[in-house]
Amino acid sequence: MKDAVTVGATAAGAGAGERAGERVGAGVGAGAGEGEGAEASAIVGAAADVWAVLQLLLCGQAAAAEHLANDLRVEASGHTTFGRTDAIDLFAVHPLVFSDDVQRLVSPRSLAVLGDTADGRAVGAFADLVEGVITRVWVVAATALDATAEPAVAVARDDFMSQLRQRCQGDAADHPELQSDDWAHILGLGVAALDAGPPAASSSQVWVMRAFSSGGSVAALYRLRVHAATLPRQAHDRLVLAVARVQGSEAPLHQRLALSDPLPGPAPVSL
Amino acid sequence: MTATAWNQLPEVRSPAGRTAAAVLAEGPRRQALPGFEPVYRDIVDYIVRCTHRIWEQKDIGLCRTHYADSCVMHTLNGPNCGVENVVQGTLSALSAFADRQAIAEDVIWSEDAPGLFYSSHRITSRSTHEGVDATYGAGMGKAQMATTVADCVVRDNLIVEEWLFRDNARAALQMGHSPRAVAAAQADADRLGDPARHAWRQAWIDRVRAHETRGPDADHPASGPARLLDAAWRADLYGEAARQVSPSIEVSWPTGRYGWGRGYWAGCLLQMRAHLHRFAMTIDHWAARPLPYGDVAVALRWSACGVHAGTGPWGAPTGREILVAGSSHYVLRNGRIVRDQTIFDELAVLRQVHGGLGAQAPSGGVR
Repeated sequence: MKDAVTVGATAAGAGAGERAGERVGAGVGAGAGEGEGAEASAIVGAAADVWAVLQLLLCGQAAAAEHLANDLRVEASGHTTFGRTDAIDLFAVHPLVFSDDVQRLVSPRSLAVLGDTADGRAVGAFADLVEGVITRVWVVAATALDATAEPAVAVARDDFMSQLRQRCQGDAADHPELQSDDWAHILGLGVAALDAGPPAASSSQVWVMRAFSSGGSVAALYRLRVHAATLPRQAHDRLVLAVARVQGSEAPLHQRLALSDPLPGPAPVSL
Repeated sequence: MTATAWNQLPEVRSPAGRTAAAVLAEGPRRQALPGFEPVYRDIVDYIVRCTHRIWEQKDIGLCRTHYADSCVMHTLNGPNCGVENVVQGTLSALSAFADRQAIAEDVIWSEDAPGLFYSSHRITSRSTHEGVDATYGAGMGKAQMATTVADCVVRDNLIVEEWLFRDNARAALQMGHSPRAVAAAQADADRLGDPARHAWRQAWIDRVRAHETRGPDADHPASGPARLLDAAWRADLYGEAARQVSPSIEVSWPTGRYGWGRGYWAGCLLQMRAHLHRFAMTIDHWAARPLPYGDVAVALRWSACGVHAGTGPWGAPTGREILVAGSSHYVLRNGRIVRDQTIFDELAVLRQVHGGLGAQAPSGGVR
């Protein structure tokens, strides 16, 4: 397989307790009881299918196509694609092979997976799901050498619109699969993501793109806008995938972050 | 007043997030469609399927059974009147970009009177420039992927009126062309011949300045986004508007503008407004439909005009009155905008900036 990146189980914390993907079905909602076993199995079954489809997609296998949204959007390794066929073509050139024992969290609307490459780099993928169909995928990994951004009209922006600044912006109300008690953890993981990168100016910002709770764990996808700490001020974007075990207000356990390389910035266009 | 409430008929589903097989599956009718061909299951299926039949299956002649003889297709480059002009335009496009895939992203529709449908169809089309195009010349095999919103009024299987907004500046850039050069060449051609053929533009501007439309009712999902556009573009209260969208709003605007957050969203709106003094706008139509998991899709078609007296990406101020018309598709979650996909033809805007389409510079210079 051309230039495939192989991703395996996390180096630490792997074990039965980390197979959250298989407990997620039972963990969604108030908790699984006997009467919910069938529903949980169905969710797990569906989740397993979605995982299989995602694996096929990330390997650029055409067999994935019929299970993908026709308007699938993918952001991966600095590339963006629209439509299921372009996505498959992208991963045929830049495949990402996740082994089955990587850390997986799944919910009816989301699938997050995180593992390590052979050289120890954390790499992840996040998928939006609609009734078991993958509709959007973000891959958090190195930026491919051939990745470029389209030219774009630049837009002047103020990401804070206030001197009172929040480093991580978002709203729990946008994430219906997130338990309310977990929002503070999501914000904390976002700030940790910003601090995990290279030194950045205080004007750098994190947005919570996606977040969900699953069986005592949380997963979140963030977009970072990182301003250089020196002048002239230049910014780049990165993606971050975070997963963690959480318990009440205590600090998250087994916290893992996958941080992408800087995403290619568009060449500004003067019209 | 509508014949169908925005959230009625949940079985008439958006194509968003569905497989190609599901979108194109044939089957029994799901909605009353008086006068429509039996193959169409509902109004979404009509829009998606006839697009597929005409553009992808290349049965261009079906335009004659899907467009009224007297149909008008409004674009920011001018109106296209009559079904034979629609046929000819489709033939020309496909002779240059034959492998066009029109991927339906959403169809946000309303039934404004019994049997009278309005659809706002967002498509991102992929195609390769292999033939000769009137604007771009001979094909060099470059690919383009532009988003289009087509708003249609449909009755008895016929599109009677259409508004077409395409991200043409982005398409030009993707094919390696300078939007400025393309627009300037178009403007040069516009200054030849009978200037009366550009009268449609002034008529449109006059309608915007007359501001006779009333806007959505307060209980319609479109009222929120309409109110925000009002706050921003009429009252210049960008912070007030931005505070009411999601802090993590995802924003896609023409010509590659893409970003996240309230600041970026406000920046897009402010940039447009900074170009155009004596700004006026109208909300021309609105529709909303349910999306999976309780989200709501809202479509706003709007028109705006102003005097190009501010600096920005459109270049030095020209003093010309500029018309901008477009469509904004929003995703609402818990009543708040989490995603904004706005389309207008910035190439046609530049064409006016360069003096095309009848846009005159003031005799006294820019004030």
